[in-house]
Amino acid sequence: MTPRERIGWARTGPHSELVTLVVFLVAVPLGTVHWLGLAAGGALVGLTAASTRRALVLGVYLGAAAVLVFVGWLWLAGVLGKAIATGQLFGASLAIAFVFPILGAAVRGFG
Amino acid sequence: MATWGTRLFAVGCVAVLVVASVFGSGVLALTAPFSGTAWETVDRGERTVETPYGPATVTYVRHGVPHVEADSTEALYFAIGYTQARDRLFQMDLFRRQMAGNLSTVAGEATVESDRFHRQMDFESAAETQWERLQGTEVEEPLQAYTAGVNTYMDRGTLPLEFRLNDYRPTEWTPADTLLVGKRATWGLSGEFSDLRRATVRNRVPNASELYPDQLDHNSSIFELAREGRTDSPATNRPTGATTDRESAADYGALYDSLARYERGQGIGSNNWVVSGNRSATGEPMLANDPHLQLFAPPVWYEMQLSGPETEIRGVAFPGVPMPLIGQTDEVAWGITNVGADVTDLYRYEWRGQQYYHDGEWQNATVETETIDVRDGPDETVEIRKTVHGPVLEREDQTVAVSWLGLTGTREPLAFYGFGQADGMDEFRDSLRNFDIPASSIVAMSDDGQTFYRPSGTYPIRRTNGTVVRGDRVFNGSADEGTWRGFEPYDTSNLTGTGFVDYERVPRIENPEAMGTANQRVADDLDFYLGTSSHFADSYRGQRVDEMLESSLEDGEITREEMRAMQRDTRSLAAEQFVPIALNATDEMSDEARRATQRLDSWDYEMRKGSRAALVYDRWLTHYRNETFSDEFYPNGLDESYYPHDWTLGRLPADSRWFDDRSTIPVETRVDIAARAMNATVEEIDREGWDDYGDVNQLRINHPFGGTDAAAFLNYPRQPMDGGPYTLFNFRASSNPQAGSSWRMIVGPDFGIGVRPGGNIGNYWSDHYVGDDLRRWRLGEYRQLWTNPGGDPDIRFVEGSG
Repeated sequence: MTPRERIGWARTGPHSELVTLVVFLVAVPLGTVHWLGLAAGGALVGLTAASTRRALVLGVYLGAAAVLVFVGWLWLAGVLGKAIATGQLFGASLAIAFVFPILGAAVRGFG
Repeated sequence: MATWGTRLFAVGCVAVLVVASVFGSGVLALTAPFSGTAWETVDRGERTVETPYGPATVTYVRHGVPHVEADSTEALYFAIGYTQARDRLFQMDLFRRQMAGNLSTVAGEATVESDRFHRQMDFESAAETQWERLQGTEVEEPLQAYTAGVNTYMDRGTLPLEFRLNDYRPTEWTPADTLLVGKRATWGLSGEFSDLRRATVRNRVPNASELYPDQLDHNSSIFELAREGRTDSPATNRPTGATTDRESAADYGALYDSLARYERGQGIGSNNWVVSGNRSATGEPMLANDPHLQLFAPPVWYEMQLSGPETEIRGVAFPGVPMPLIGQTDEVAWGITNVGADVTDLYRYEWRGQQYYHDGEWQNATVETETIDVRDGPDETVEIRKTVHGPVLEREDQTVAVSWLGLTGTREPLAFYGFGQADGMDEFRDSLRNFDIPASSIVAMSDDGQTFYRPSGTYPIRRTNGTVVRGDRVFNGSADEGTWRGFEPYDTSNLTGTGFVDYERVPRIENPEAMGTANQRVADDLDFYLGTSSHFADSYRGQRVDEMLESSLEDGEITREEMRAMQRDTRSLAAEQFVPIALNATDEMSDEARRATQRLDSWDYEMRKGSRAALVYDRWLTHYRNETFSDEFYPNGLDESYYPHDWTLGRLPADSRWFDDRSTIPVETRVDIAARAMNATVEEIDREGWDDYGDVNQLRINHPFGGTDAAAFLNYPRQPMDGGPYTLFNFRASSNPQAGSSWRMIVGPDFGIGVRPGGNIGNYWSDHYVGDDLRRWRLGEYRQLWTNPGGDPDIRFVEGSG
């Protein structure tokens, strides 16, 4: 298969949903390494989507997952209440976690 | 196929990412989820640390208190350094920055004047001089090991959140930095410019000298109130009489106004008392101490338990200083309050350019110019001038040089180190010989039942033409007035020579049955100059300590519960003095004011947050003070900071000239002013909607960087408080920053209870950032001190390169 055929297989092939799940599972930990990982993860799930609209939906899912994992991490560390109390700091982190994967997923718009 | 629309959308999103990464990289690096530096310190780093000084362990016992244990002194001090940096590095760095005049590098223009003052005083060189003085002594290697521990944490540990929020890194720690933090404490307790204040008031306000007596009119000095015990107070070095207006009046208003914010807080004080085993219910001595200092988040004290070779110390230290300054070993316990002694003198000269006339000739001042690096602003330059007496401070052509004892190589680190090593009272007392500054009323007890008190410190003797004089004036340095023989600022001085009061000449009390100190005058008739009424606190707290000790002793022996009750006491003797003045003035009051005053008639003088009477009294006293003095002071450009002691105000006769309002034709008396103040009080309470004392007596403990919305989460929660400036349960709501009991401790040979106003750990993410101590402290509750460590150590220090 050519690279283009491979991408097409991932996007619309019989196992496209499984591919999306695997890419999604790779994308989430990427976001914990660096903020660029959030955008890169979004780009990964976006590129495996069947359409730009679908890519953006997956970006939203990934952003929501990043938010949930981040909040869960803080909760496990016993500092969720303190993190919420930081106000702007916590809000900025949540916004980055949610928005950057969507921005990354938008690269699907290039084709 | 992608349409032009979706491509355009994709381009837009990528553009947003690029713009954010270019222009928002700092915010992203700080706040990114997981990887943002703000979240770094959620995980507090290494559990095993290599050290070249030998093995040690740190086990955090309850309430975030580290129990540090090692087989060698150096290993112990390395571990202390690492642990303090782990828990308080931002505060340590802030303290040294403040004293070195480097705040503006991280805080911007707002701190330029502070940096200018601290550089002109050159505390940094004083700390370096002190480090030179301490080399070769028993503290040299422990201080070096401590320094290595701090730097190891800086190299390997995660930086506290505050560094991330403000985007800077601390520079390497040095032994002189530790001593610089010590200078911060000693200057904060003994550095003052009261000579300028007094000279200015005398110059601008006619008859003001009667408001600033040499001694406040009371019989409650520390020695006067002490019970039993042997007192030694031999005669020597008695100075000439009090300074007259002619000698001291001069206008230094501009200079004082610019410097007042850097001198020790007026009225800031502390309590301590000791009871011998003969008078305690347990048969063992007991000791209590609560130093009243500025209240910060995190607290100014860092609590530690240290277990080293031949020593077990439990106590509190300033972050950046390894030795506990207040605490207990297995053999001795000690508590400290500020004497308030005058160890700062000021000198004026005839100037000719950069030359000043002194010792019969024109001498060149040492002049250096430094640059203050200002964040987000243009650099500032500061000229640092020094004379033989010390650094020169100048504002609007008013120029003085400052001799402050702490500018020379003082020895108090040796004293604090010695306290922790003392095998008993004799060795503890020997350590006091090194206790130079700040002059402190030290009470101590030992496990064999001894008790002890000494106003410890090194006291300068001023001489003019060979005659011993007092230090209560600005000296003429060109006429060689007020010389301290042997004093060398920024160099090693002969502190045991004829320029200073001989150690044996300072009175002490051995084995007092029961006695306390609360910053009031030390003695009524000392044979050397210690200070004037400007240097000592009103005696309300001192009298209350005595009153409560007396009451307990009358009933028999003093119990631990009575010791606790004393530290929790909110009865104000000032209120007892002032309330009758208000009650006598009801005829002249409005109906509403009269009703408010009647509440005071049955009031128990308890400054409780739920008390309406305490609210009325507190606000009335503020108005009464202003109604009495503002017409004389404000027109002369003098604000409340120039007002005399409340003790003086409370004892003014009913027809005193100070009650007459100079802006009216009739001659007012005390009754008129008291009534006027109460009328203003009820109007204010009504206008503000206050219900009780807790509405105005609000606890606001803030973080130094908590002034912005983005960092306000670092501040402690606001709460209504009991207590006031004159109660033993001490809280000063109107101070900025607020002040009060910064540590409460009650100990005996086999027990210890205490509490801090906040958590021991400076890391915001820690459970012990605020902790349960703040609640306990606010409510006057205690917890057990000195917990035995159990379980595995939290940090292990193992042999390695470090």
